[in-house]
Amino acid sequence: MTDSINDLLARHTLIFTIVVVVFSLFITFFSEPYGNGLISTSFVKTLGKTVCLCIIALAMDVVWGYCGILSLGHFAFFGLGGYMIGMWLMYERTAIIVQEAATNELLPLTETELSNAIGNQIFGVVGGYDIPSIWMFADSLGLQLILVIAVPGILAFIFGWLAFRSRVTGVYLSILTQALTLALSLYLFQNDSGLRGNNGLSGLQNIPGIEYLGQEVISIGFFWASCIFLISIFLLFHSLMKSKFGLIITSIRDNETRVRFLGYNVEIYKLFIFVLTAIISSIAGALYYPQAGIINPAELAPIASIYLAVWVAIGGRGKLYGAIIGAAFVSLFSSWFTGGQAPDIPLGIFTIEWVNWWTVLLGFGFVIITIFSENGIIGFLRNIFVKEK
Amino acid sequence: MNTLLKVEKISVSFDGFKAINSLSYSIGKNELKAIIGPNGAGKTTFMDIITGQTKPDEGNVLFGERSVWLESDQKYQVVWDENLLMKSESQIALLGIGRKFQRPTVFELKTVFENLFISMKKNRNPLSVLFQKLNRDEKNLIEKILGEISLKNEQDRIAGELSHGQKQWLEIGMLLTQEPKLLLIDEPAAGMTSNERRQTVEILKKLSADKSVIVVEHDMEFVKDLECEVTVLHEGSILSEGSIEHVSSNNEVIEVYLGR
Repeated sequence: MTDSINDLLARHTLIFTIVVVVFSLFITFFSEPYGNGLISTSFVKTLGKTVCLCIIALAMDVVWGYCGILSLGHFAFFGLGGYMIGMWLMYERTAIIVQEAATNELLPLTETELSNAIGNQIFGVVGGYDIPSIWMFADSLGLQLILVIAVPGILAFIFGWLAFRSRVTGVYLSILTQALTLALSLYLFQNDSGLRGNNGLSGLQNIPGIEYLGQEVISIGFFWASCIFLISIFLLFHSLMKSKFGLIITSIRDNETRVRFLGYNVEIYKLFIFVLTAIISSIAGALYYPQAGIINPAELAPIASIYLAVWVAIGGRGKLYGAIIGAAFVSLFSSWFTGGQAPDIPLGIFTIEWVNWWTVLLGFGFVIITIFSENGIIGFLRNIFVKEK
Repeated sequence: MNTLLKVEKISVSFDGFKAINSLSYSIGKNELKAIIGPNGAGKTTFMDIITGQTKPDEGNVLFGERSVWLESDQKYQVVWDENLLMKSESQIALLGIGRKFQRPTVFELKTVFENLFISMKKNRNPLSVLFQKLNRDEKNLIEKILGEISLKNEQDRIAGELSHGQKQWLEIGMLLTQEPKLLLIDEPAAGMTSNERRQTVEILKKLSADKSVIVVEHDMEFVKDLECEVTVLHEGSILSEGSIEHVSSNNEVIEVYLGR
């Protein structure tokens, strides 16, 4: 009995891996550099970004759907990952440009002149010349990559430790996570935060050192990297949730007190899941923003994290593929409707312009799906295709 | 001399209401005892205090008596392994105190087998749990316990589908896989059929062969069948203690139970 279930699950992961790989190959063979160019580079970027959103949706599903912590702040970690990688991208590229410009000069630039020139380029927009101390590792890709993991990891650890230790749960915890992402966003909006205030970091699509490859090739590279990371995270979460550890995580969701009386230190388990998903969200962000090209503090606004929960709820929480379907479905529709491609509907005296009305449609869709199917799209499909025993 | 748990003069009040009033209690190793009392007598609060969910305003809860030979004084001195007031719920559970709740609380979405698997006495550290696999001995132990709680044929069923009585047994089974030293059992017979009651009495008696068991009930008949020492609680303190015959002939007890 248990074995056959395991077989079925193993088949699920295999099917998932094959589907993602075939999909990636399909996209590649119709892309501009490696195929007939039917799929534009900008659409490859949209797909790559969507895959990154699927990854953070997986993290959200594990923290909410499996562990029962309704975090409405995971997009803060996503954004932080983007900022951490963005610092290197922006600094390195500016340094290369400044050095190239300086080759015409008679005297080579001194260390201070170089630093000032870079500082002027990056921070002139917020009226500064000095490079803030938080940029001290920005010249090293390796160190910034470590920060992609360390910064959200430490933030999630401190936040989670304080919140879980005080037994903050349910809606109170959700409000705290909203406060976390709001506070971070407001801080980053300030010019003296050292991260260019509301301008954010830009030009991130230009990857220093491999710019000669062109955006067509780089976009395919990031698309593949995102897909491979998606598969690895799916496999990781799948095996984690299938193990005894996963049993305990879902038991905490179902009855936290009972788990505590079994002798498990519930807070440590929650903290583990919270930090792990924060780090994965951050890495997803670090893959997303080089494809988006720009990051600014508005990305960390509280609404972003709420959307994330909506995706997972629409797709079907408590099932990994539910989260992926929800995120892919909603974010692709979102970019279609808000990108101006969807035809507007004239109603005589009034025209429905999807750019403005998309959120209304999304709201309706959310309400309808949650009324008719507790487990989102996945639950709906299961009701149709899987016969109850 | 072989006391496992000793509660010393505990008091606790909620918003001025004294739920427990200077209560002292103790239970020996492998002893079966029952606590009865009308609603609001403080039975559940008493259990909450032992398991660490509620901290008393006064008093002590000591666990694991040992005698230590004092070389200097040339005599035995009694020492206690643990003061439960210093511990969290999960630490107390790990010391070997298992609790069965009044309403059956099993993990409804998991199978009977999985319920027992996660209750199993093993390292509870998350990093260790990550790599724990079920081995043959553990599988055998779970199967043995499934037999004891008469759920052998139900092991792959989702716990939520079980009958009320079966859920009660499953919860007792979950306590057994924890291999506790002391079991606190809150109203095990509530909502059971008379047949299930009889089986429950058997299970509880069997348990006290190598564990200490405290059963909290308000059903006199069920307690009579347990044939053990009975403590009557009333308004947070002990009204009477002794055999069921002794207790039920006590005038005050009769008044508390029947007089209203």
